Amino acid sequence: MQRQPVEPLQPLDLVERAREGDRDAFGELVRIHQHGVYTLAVRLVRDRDQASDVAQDAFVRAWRAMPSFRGDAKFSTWIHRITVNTAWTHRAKQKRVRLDSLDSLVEDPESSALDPIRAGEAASAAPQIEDALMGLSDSIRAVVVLKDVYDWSHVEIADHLDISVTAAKVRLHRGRKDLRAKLAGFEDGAS
Amino acid sequence: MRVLCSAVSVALPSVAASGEKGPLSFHIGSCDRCRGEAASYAEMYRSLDALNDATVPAPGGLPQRVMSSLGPVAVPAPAGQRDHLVPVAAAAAIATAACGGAVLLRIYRQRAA
Repeated sequence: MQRQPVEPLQPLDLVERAREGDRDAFGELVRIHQHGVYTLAVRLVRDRDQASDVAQDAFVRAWRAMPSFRGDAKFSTWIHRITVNTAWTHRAKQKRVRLDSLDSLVEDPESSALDPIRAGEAASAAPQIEDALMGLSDSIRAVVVLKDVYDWSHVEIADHLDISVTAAKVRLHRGRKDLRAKLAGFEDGAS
Repeated sequence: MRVLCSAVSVALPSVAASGEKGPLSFHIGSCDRCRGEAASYAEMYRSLDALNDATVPAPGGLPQRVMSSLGPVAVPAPAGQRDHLVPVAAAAAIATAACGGAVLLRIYRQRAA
């Protein structure tokens, strides 16, 4: 007897099944979205090890919240929002840890935890812009990334980063100017 | 730098992002310095936009790590399975009220006696 080819699951089916508690369907969603979520996490927290933790945590949070996912946004949009919230929670924790471990960083000059250039090295096919982004402070970079890469609105950015819309606009303006200056610096260095 | 150029420079990040130069277009069109700055912003926004399609490969084993750390999900029971809870809840409420009433009655009688 000839077996019928298995119809590949469509993302909508996967989301619906994952909402009903189907682990296999959720696992498939994780496989599909892992790179996008990890990429966003790297851009927000810089450090790749931390980004991996953020991505994992974001998916676990998404799994817990699956029953409340109503499908009025795309799953990718929804998981990105969760990733931003998770990254910001990790950042707050990391800030506390960093204050406690400044000595160990001084003792370990090879540490890449805070090295923007290393964190951005393998980031994409556009290393200059990635490196320039990684040179911005976390709070400024997050706004620039969410607005100019992911096309979020000022209101969404303010809401997820827990800042005012005015603060989001100010940081964006400053971030764009800083970013351009850094890119100009790369060009001057190259020439 | 001319005063007008410095004013344009302040506005350029937002103006170049929106792509609508509006009242600044005349000056930008006639000033080499501002035209160059506008062009560099435009190039920067193109690069940033292109990042939306660029991904950093996730570390191997991420899906496995995620799946191994999943707990049970709170799946809401279908409506049909919840119907039987209504009479149970009502019976529990009546029983609680009856018990409370009996206790109060007993206390009242004790005080009366």
